[in-house]
Amino acid sequence: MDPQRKYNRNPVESIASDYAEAVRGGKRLSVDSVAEANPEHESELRELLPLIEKLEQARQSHIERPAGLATLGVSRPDRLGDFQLVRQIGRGGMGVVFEAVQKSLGRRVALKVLPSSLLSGDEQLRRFEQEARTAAALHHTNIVPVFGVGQDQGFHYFVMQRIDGHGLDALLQDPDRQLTPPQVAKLGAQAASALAYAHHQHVLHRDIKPANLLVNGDLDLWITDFGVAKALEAEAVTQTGDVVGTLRYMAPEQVVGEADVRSDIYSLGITLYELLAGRPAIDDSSIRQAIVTRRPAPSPPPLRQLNAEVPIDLETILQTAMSNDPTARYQTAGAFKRDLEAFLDGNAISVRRVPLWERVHRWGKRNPAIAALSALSMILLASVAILSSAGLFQLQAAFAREQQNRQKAEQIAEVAVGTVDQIFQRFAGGMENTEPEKEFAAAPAISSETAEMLENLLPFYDEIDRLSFSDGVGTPQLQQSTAGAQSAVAELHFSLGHYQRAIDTFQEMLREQSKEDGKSGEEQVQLAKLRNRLGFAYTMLGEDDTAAQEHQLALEMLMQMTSVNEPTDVAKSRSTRFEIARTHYLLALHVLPGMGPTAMPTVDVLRSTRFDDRAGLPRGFDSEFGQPGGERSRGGPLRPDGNQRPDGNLRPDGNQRPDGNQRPDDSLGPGGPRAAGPRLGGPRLGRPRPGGPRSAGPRSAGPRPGGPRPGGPGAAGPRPRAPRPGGPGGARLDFDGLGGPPRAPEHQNQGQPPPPRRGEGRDGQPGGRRSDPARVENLQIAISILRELIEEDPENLSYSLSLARSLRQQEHDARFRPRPEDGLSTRESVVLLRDLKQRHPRNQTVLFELSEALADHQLFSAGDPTYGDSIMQLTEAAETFTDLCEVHPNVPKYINAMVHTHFKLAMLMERESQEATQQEKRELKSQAKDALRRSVDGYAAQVQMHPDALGYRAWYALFLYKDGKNSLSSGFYEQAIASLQNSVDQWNQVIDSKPDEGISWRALPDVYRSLGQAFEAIGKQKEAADAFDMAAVSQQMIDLGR
Amino acid sequence: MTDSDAVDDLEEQPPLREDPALLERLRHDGEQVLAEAFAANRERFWHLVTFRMDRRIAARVDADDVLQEAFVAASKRLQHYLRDEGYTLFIWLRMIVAQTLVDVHRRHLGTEKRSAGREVSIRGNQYPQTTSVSLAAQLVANQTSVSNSVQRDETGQALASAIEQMSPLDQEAIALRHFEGLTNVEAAQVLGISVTAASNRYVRALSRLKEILEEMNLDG
Repeated sequence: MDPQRKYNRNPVESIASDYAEAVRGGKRLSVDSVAEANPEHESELRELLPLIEKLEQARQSHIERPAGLATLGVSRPDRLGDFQLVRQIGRGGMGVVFEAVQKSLGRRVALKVLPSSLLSGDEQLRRFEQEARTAAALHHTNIVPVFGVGQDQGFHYFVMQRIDGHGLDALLQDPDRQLTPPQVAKLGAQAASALAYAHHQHVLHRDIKPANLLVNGDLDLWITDFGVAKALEAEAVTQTGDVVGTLRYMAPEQVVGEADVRSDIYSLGITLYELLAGRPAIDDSSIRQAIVTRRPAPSPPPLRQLNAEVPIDLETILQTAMSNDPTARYQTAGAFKRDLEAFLDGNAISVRRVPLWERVHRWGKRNPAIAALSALSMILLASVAILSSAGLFQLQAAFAREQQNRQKAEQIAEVAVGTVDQIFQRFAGGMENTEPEKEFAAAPAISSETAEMLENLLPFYDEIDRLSFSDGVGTPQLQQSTAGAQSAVAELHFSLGHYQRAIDTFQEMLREQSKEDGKSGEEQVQLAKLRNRLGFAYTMLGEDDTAAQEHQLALEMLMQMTSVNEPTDVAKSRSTRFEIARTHYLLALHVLPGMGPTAMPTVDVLRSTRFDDRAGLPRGFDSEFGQPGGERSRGGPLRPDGNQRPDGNLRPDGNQRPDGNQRPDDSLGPGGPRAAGPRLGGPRLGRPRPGGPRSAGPRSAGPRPGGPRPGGPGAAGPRPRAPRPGGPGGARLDFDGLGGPPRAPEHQNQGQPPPPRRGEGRDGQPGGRRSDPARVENLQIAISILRELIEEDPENLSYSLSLARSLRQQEHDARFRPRPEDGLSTRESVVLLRDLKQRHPRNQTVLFELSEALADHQLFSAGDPTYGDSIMQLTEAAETFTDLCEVHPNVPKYINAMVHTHFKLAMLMERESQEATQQEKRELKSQAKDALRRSVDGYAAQVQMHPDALGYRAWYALFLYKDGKNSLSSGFYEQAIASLQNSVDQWNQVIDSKPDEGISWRALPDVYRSLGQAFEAIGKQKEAADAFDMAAVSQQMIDLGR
Repeated sequence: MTDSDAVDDLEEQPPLREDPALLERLRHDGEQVLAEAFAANRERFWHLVTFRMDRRIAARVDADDVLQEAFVAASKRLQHYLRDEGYTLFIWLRMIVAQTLVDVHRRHLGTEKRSAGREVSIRGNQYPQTTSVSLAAQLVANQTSVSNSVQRDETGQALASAIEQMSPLDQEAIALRHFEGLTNVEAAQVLGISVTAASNRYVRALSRLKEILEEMNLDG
């Protein structure tokens, strides 16, 4: 390229570039001077230059610690000081090991280079150097010689002899290389000899583990990394987060920082055991158990049980070395070494087998252990702390209390349960699952990370459980805690929109809890509740049949109970009745489009986004927009004004739908109450696809090829150099010659409707769930039970909230519309919730439900006296939703509500602008645009978080389309093109995943048409023509489908 | 903000082909010249890789390894480039690095990521379907994004969330210039737009970022 060439650049950009360059080069320019030197752009520069500095800082901080991992930074140095780096031979948690050549001496060495981030503090650095120098003073056949430490270009490194061998960890991973007992003893003797020498020099290793023992082909052994652990161990744990791995080879007392020579002996013993046993002496679950119970992990099984070849003497030696009690171990490495040598020579060893009773006795002596375990817990905390410092403090307090008390062993498990419970309570907001009554501000934001962490903590309960059986600790409490923790995890996943994972957990809980018979009434209610949660999760996934089954099972269970229940047991029967009411409500519940991951937008919504093309309102807009975007199975033949919906009941081709997909109106029994009839279509049809070559052959299931999509919709974009082998012309050919594509004839021969129709059929089916009498009845039952309950216990928030929800659903289904003279606020759900808000002004659930109710009403046309109220109510709802989203950015429920309410607002304002004055029009349009923008942005994030949720994606595509049209009509052509192209892409992704979803097919022609208009507007005729072609092609698809 | 981009397209195209002299040298002394070019741009490629690499992979794969692999791939494909050079050498090398990164992701995450119905909560930004990041569509799940890169820095928190709120196109404009460290001309080449358009887009993205930050200040 020609750097000399002068381009017509944005002047601010070119100044900004120089400035960024300077900042990157470490120069500090004053914003003032730059701005003053360029008076014509002064104010802009004053605004932007500080931002550039910030961005460059961010870049810098990323360079230092990308992904939180040790790295040597941008450029791996070629040389450090006197050393020429040859190649990388290893990468540990703490540093990178290179083979290097020391130039002055011409010798090959190994260089361990530490990332600068590891040694950030002065104190740390000092300690590291001190330790390294001490290590350098060690000279022993079995210790990797350290030649020295150095520092160059910001890297700290130490220089070691290059050993031609491998770490024992590599050997352990090779199943073909099992060492014999004498070989292991020989290695152990060498290591013990090295330790004896080092200990004599007052140097502890502190991190003896397989990876730090290097061995060559002749089984000569070298210990490496002397002293490094002390300098770096805290850092290593916090940086790698590998608590269990760190603890595996560590002596119990060392964890508290009380290491002495016997700790190294322990670690060596554990290592040798692993070599012979072929697996770690202490498994992961034992380590977790140790952390939880704050007792040392139980001694591993006798070696000979795992490897019969191990002689008794060797087993005894290792058992001694790795005793939990330091006083029971070899007291010096020399003694350890001598016994290993005695074993090799066939001589008598110095230690005797510990009788079983004595082992048990030692096991009971846990004074040192309690101290040790509090430190273990500190390490656990280190990993937890990453998630929340608040949680950390709570835990620390718990452990501090415990440490003071030194309570008896039986109580330890309880404390452990309590501790883990506390974590759950902190993060999952307690075990109360159906009605999270959290204060707005106090509730912690939930995230996938939290869910992940809590899930990882679940095994701790199992460990406690196992212990408590042997110790006889009361199990009911533990079981309750375990179930509570599980359900907290499930609820968290539910809130985060991970419905499948919630379902998995709920089902596991169900399996466990259904095992035992003879449940108390309360337990049965819990079980029914669980089923209802499970069903609800299925509903969210759009699996209505399965959902109905679960609810029905719950209902049966509850109904049986009411007949058995003592009529005097008021409290119990109340909770039963409440759950019955909830079950009826859930049976009537349906997910509105856009509110669940699979709930697609409807044809009507799509149509209504088009209305600004025409002067007036689209027909049917009112009813479609009564709900956040209509409803999955809308229909509603009756409107309050008595007008028949123009297009609701009739299919575009004028034929009444066959009853195939229609939900049976009444039967709600188990075994498929909501079962769909035989689906139209049978095997999925080969789908002719607008997009040239892709439609010609069978579609590959693999990932989309990396390059630009040849001839695909994307190719209509401004990609001057992109190859365009296919193009719309090709696409049309495909469709004109229907005989060409292999599977196309099926369409004609079998007369099967192509995808668009099937999708539409489900959406546009008359008489959907709304008019389902069973639903109406379910809601009525729920409402009447709830009213009774509230009469008995007016203060119970859960009752009132459930009633409000049921009422809202009822109003929604009945297309409730107040008389103009009464105003909108006459809806009972709104009245009730407003009252609840008075009493619980900061309760998150109340706020959410109120906003839901406000947002969920019919939109009325301008000129209607209640029209202004509509906007006000929606605005109020939108604000609350936005607040909720800020507190909980990962909760789809809030995002969906926020996004759809904004979208509704946008549509409403735009409609109002049709009749407004010129001045107002502009204002309204811009407000509408803002609202729409929020929808688009909100869903961009949502789609990223849930890439497989086609419902979200389809809505996103729809919003983008609307946004594109908006930009188009206000003259922002480039933005319009970007949005529209993105929309095309999103629709295509939906089609890719679910070709029979009619809505995507319906959308494409419009999107392409708008895209064409946008291109036309900026004079890109060719692109415009392409887009119009695509519009025609996709329209043809629909027509063919008809 | 008007839409001058489109008009400028015609007059201010960045160089689309490599300098013939360099091509000539590449033909004769391919390995050497390629190595020089790669080395000269190494730092920027390193940034590309670290900024766009999935966190889970970053724990296992060093950016250096990716670059190493990319260089080998480039050497192998050099003849293709020479036969059909539609790009400058830098852009071509960058494409190879990006493709290598995609391959690495696929190798490490591929099957896991695509299993149907699995709800992966992803953090990362969706990039637009520009040439620069058509790879992003494939990487998008769990990709270290621009915003993630700055997140660890506490003061960068606000910046990160502001960047997150920007449109993908704007994010990319910032990413190319600040995180990959490209020049304006290079950014134009990557995005396939005119130099003028690229500079406008960058300034516009900056202004938007500024606006968002200000709004956030007002809100919080």
